[in-house]
Amino acid sequence: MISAIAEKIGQEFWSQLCAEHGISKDGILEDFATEGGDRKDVFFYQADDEHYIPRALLLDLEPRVINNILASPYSNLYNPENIYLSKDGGGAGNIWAYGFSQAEKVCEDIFEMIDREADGSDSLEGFMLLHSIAGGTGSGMGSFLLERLNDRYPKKLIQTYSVFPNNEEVSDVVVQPYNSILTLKRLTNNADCVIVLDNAALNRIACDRLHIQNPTFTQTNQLVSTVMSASTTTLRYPGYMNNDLVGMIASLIPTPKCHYLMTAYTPFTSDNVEKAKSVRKTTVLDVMRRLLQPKNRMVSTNSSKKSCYISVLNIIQGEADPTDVHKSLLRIRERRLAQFIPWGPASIQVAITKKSPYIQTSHRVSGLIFRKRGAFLEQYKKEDMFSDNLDEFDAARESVQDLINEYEACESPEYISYGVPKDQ
Amino acid sequence: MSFTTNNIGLTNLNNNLKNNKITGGDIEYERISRALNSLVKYFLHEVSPFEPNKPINKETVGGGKTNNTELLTTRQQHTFDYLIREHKSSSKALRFANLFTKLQSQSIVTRKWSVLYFLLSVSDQSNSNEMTGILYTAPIEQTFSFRGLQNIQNISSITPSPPRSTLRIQKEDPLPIKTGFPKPDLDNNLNNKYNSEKLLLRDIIFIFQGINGQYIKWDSEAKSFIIDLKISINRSTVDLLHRLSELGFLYRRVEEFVKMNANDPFIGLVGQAFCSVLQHELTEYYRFIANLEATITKEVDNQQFLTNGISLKRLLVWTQDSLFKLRIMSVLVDCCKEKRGGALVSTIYNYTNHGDPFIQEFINKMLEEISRPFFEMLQRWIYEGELDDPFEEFFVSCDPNVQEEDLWRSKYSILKDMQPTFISELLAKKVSLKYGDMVALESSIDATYTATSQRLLNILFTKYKLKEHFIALKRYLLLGQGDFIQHLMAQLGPGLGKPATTIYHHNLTGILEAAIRASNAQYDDPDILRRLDAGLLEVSSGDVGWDVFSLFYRVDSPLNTIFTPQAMHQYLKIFNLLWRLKRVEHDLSFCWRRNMTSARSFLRVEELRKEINTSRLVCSEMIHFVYQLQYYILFEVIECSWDELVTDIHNPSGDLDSLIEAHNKYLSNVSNKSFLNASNNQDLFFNTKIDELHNLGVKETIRRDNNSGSRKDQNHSRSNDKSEDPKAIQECLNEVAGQFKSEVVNLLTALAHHQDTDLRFLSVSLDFNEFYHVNEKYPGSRKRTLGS
Repeated sequence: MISAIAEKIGQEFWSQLCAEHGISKDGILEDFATEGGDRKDVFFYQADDEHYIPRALLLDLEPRVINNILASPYSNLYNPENIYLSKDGGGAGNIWAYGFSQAEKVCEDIFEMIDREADGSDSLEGFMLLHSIAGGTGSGMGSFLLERLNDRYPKKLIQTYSVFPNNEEVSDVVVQPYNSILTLKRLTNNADCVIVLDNAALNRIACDRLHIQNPTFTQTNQLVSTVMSASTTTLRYPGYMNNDLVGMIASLIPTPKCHYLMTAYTPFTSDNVEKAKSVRKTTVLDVMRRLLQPKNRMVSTNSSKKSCYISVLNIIQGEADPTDVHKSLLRIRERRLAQFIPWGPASIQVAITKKSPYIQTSHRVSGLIFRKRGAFLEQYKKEDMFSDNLDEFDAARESVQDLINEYEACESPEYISYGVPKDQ
Repeated sequence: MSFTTNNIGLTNLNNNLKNNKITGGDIEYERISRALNSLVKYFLHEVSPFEPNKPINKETVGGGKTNNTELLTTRQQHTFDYLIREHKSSSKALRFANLFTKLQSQSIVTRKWSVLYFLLSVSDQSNSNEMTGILYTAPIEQTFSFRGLQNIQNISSITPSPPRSTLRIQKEDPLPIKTGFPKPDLDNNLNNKYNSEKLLLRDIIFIFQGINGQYIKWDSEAKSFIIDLKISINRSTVDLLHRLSELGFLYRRVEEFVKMNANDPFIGLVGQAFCSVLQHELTEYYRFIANLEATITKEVDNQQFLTNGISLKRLLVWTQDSLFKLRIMSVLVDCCKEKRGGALVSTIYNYTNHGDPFIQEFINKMLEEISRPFFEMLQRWIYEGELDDPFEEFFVSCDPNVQEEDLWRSKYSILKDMQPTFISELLAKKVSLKYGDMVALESSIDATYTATSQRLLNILFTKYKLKEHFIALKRYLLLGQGDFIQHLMAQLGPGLGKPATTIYHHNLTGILEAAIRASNAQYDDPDILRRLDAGLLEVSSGDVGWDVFSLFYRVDSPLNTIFTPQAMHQYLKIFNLLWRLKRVEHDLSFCWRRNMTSARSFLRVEELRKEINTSRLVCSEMIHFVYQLQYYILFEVIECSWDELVTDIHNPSGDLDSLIEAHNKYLSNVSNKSFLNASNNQDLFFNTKIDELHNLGVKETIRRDNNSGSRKDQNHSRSNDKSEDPKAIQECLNEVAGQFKSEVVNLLTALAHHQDTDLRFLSVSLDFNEFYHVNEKYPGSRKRTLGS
């Protein structure tokens, strides 16, 4: 977890995981959580004294949020050695380059921690990076880490949960677009799977779905952590399929570059808001249908007629009957609720997972959807106008443009021959 | 006097009676009755000269005293009944009765007695000319006095009828009186009659007991009684004797059977019960005979013989009940000769549907006794589970040589022959009590059965953890425990590529242990993990580890009742399919990962972009196919079937049999829908082909990547050496892709027309965006694009 926002989300995420796995705030396994069929060792490891410790590093260049975490009830959960705070504590000042160079300076320390954690894992599959790409720390330090992780662990997967800035409102951070575009290059070239979380969409969902007028960060973070925990259920509750990171994303990402995933989740509930508690009866078809609706998407996109899904993975939690899924799939196909790519086989894949037995939820079935979709990066086109003389920006622009091109190509049947240099 | 002439005479008589219109004065009932009786006597003359004498005499006496019309009528009625019973088949009696009723109802005819008397006289006249003299000379009262009819008969010379079936008359000589009986000093004619009847009575008592009498003897050759006819008896007597001797004949047969089988161990308990019932009945019969004998002796001694004693005719009436019983017994003895146990009971049970209530009751009573040992066995079998059947007559048979694992299936079997018909097959299958209470029996057996089944299942589920085993099999052999399989695959992967002969069991078990420890399987019951074993199937030359590797799950008694070798074999077959699929998935994942990670390095290799892109797309297509196929098998097939199985397991009325059935259904469902069925050979073949194809594709892609990797280096070094290598790889890849695609299309067309909806659904999910249908429509365009 890098940067302040990420830490807040991360904290929500870990507290949710703790709840799902029946781990107390101190990392001690609760008495009731002995038989769950869950794998705690995916995201936790056990210390000598049976404490469960999250396999997590907390990195920040300013101490404020991390200090908050250390003051919270979860302070004992994290391994203190895994918390890195910049010594000068000045933060990155929302400047990508500053975060990047700061990270370079403390590279040794950080990678010592990463190596230690990696060595402590039995079969390390990859890394999950949670960061925001608007601020300086998340973008700069995150970019740096992506590059370095690639070098050091070339065979490991890197999955990122990237919080994208709100593009609809004018941000208080004027350099946001720069930070974003620079980070996007690294995300495109160095990460294997990027799950895009859009602040604007999160706010919208909080307003529409949870009926909160002015959503606080805690509330949007809750949404993100819900999605994160839901997306990892197949890893944590082993079933027939999708039990590892590769298994989950291999079917979603046919070509390496198109690895940006959108998510949707339904039904959202929030314990904090009374109105959001009442959820209608959910059926598998309901959930699957709603997942395809743009309003439940956690990314704001302007979809065109040509827009289509490259692939879709539905993770359905709870007691879903395979025959219901079966029926729903047929219905969706009949109604053509989802438009797919024309150049290859694609379908709605379904993963049925267990729910944590420790959390009582008011809904029977909840679903998470991952999909990749063309044209969601359109919004960044305008930002591409900022072309400096700086090589780095040019390179970043180029790679982002490449990405946009490829996604656009995805919409046409000719994608199959994509990549033929124009001069050939 | 022949039968025919008699008949004609009678007809004449009746005609006369009909046509006569004699008017009379007062109705003298007594006289009428007398005349009537004599008429009847005459009528019965051919049957027996003695028998009707007694009751009629009695009646006349009684009639004289009471002078009651009603009583008279009743007596007459009685006589008719008797007549009718004796001549069931002949219409004569009926006709006589008919005519008499008409006469009776005719109010115009007042002198009925006179009419009857006249008729009698006429009929006598027509019968015997000799008799007429006597009749005419003798006063009427004499004729109707005691033995009046005998007088007539004595006068008439009766020729004995030809020999009949069971009774033969050897001589036609008159019966010489040579017994030790005191010879009554009476009229000769009368004496003869008297003595012969007396002697015959004594003889017949012996015959009743199967003992040879003086004049009637058992001929073992002809298997019948023969009358030693040094005695002169008329034909009706012979007939009577024949009827009576049937009793003796039947008695002999029953007794023979009882004697023969009572101590024969072969007959079994039910047979013994049968014998004892027969014996009991015979004892009753003895008692009856003894009574008869006593009466006869007493009457002979007291000279009351003539007044109201026993005649042959009367004996015939008295022995009717015994005769019926003996007849049934004899029939039963006949049909039960070779039968034992339940079959015997069923045979007898069949007779309970007899129309005659008397017989029905008798049979029911007998059956109750006979089936007692059977029900005792049933009771012991049901409530105590002991098969107490020393003579093998129960309908459940036990095979002591059965192996332990087949205990449930074949230790006990139902013998259809031995199964009583009143126990339905279902009931018999489920297998106390008395016969006659079948409903109670059935419900009681049902209750016991349910209780026992529940207990059995309870034991299986608690002590032997049946449910856990079901789950374990699903988890490990049907790959439910994904992380475990993942680990196993990852650990085994490199090793299984080697030839099968170089793989050793201990290595596999080591890896298995490691996989268990690394995954959530470690939290499973150690007992279940102990049963899990990795091994190799039969190795044939050329096999690599992948071909023969398999997971095994050891089951022992009593679990192997449910997890039979056949069932386990099916599990193995399913496992092998899934394992192959998993392996393809694993390889594809590996390939994908390589693609992903190498992508970063390929960024600058512009000229290979298209080729790399193609290989990635082929790879993703394959991934899509494998994922959909896996999803289908794992969720649609296994999970759905599992749900059904769980419902069946929790079915409260379930028993072990239905459980086994449900389990078998579950397995066959899974294997059918996963193309493992023999009828789906094509699909299976296809699967293996796909498997090969995948591997080929994977290998190609990997090779390609390696090549590209090297090309990258070459590019870096500005080497312009563009060999044909990439081209060859490209072609190879295209070929694989094309082959794969056409196979998929083939499969899809096959699936789309399959009768199973689930399989049709598979085709839908494999081709959700109708990508392949497009291909079908324009097969050329796709290939061209690929080939370009």
